[in-house]
Amino acid sequence: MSKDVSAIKITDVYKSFGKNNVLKGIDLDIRQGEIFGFLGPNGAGKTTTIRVILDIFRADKGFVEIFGISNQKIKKSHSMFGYLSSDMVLDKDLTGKQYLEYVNSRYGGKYMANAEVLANILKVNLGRKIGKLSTGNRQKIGLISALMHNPKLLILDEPTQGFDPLIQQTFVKLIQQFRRKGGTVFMSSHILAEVQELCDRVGFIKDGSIVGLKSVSELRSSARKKITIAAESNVLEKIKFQHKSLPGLHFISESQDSMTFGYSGDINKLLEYLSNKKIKDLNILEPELDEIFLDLYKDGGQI
Amino acid sequence: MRTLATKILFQKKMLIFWWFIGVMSLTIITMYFFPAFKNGSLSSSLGSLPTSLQKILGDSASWNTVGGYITQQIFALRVPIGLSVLSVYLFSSLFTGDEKKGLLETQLSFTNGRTRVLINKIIASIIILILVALAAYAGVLTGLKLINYHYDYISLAKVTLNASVLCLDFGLIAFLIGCISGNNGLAIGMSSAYIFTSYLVSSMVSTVSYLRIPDKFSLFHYYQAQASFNTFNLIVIGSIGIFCIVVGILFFNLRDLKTTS
Repeated sequence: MSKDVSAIKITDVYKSFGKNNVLKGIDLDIRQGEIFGFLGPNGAGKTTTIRVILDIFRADKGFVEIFGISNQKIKKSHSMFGYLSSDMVLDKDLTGKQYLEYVNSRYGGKYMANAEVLANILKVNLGRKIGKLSTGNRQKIGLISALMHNPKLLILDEPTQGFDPLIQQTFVKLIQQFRRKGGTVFMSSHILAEVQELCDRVGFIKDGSIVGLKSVSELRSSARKKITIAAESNVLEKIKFQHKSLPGLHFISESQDSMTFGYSGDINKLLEYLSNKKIKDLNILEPELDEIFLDLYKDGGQI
Repeated sequence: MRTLATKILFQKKMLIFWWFIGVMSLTIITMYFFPAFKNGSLSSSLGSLPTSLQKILGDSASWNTVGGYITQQIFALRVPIGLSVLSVYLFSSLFTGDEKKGLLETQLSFTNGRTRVLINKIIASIIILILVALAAYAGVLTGLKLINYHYDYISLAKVTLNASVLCLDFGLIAFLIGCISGNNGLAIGMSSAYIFTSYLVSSMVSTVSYLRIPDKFSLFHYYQAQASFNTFNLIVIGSIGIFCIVVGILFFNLRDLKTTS
């Protein structure tokens, strides 16, 4: 498989349900070997996009390719990925082992040993009926079924819902290991810390359109940093009064001996601006992805 | 569990077992009453009932022969009703039922194409229906042994097959409605209403002349609980079954899956 071929290529996809236009011309190009985070509020179109990729929903317009193969050529395209969603329904009347044996048979019957290794890592009892397992353990069975056949691509729709913090850590390790072996991950998530820890690039979807597409590091550098300045109250008052003279500096809050600003711009200009002010301390915090996310959706803007 | 069909058969093993026991018991018990019917006065009393009611209850004159009793008492109503209920249940629960639960979405996320998933489910449903129909066959034979009567195996196989094919069609009507609509309730409701209405129409047609045209749309019109094959009727029933499968698959391939969220 040529490295130039996209792992997932979504071209001009539209999807509506009755009069409700859910996807309005989605274009996405997921490169091989990257972990792509797909973010957006509820109802933005994340799950619909994933279901179009899986061919559960048929696009009204546009097309999807998985490693250059149409997603409607099920046998070829679907054998290349593993899928897990937060509300994945498994056969409750089968044991984990029976279910995974069936999944194994779908991929040629060579991967049961992988499933058992993954079950050990995730500490899940495969002998119990799926219906008697907790949500988290059912989710683990789903994760094993997504990973067991050594796919090239993982499609994950809010995958860690129901996982306890320890298993979330194991999940992060498994995904990082998967990527080290050359795998590609496309994941939607609400857990921004997880996206920040795992993803190389993120795409933001809002009202069925992609409103931003950047690398996590690019996003951080272009986003508002949190600046906390400690100084005498008269100095702080002066900074507050004059702060608009430095483009990109926005007042956030104040306490008795400090003030907090948001700043998006060249850090040298900020330091130059503060150099002639008698400040006691300066604290610059990198923006968290959730702040960027909230800013984006609050402002209704584009990144 | 190498295929979806074998997985379904494995999952439905207890359902198959209990249906097998139930249908076999029903037919054994029904056969056990044959001597009482043959020698009793019940058939002559029923003979005095209005024709339309006789049609619903079955032709009482034929109850004096073991063949007539088997076809009228077992294969005219009891087995078709039982198998129809099972057939509609299977063809709704395995299709729209699984779709409603979200299982179909999971099944389609693997390397299974939509047509393959449907065909596997149809095969599994047909195998379950055949196994339960065999219970009726085995029940009649066991009942005959108990009462020391004999009936031709081949004739019994023919009447069992006639009933099975009819009931398969009822399930396939539920399948077609489900494939078009994705609505489990609608599939069960409409197919059940069709079965009930068509049975009523076909049983009343001999006395209510204006039901002759609607009767042509009733599958019971093409079904005879007889130990012989009527080629035309079999072609009609077979064609309707094939039509439901083909059109159902076509519609299912065109539409979105109904999802849980």
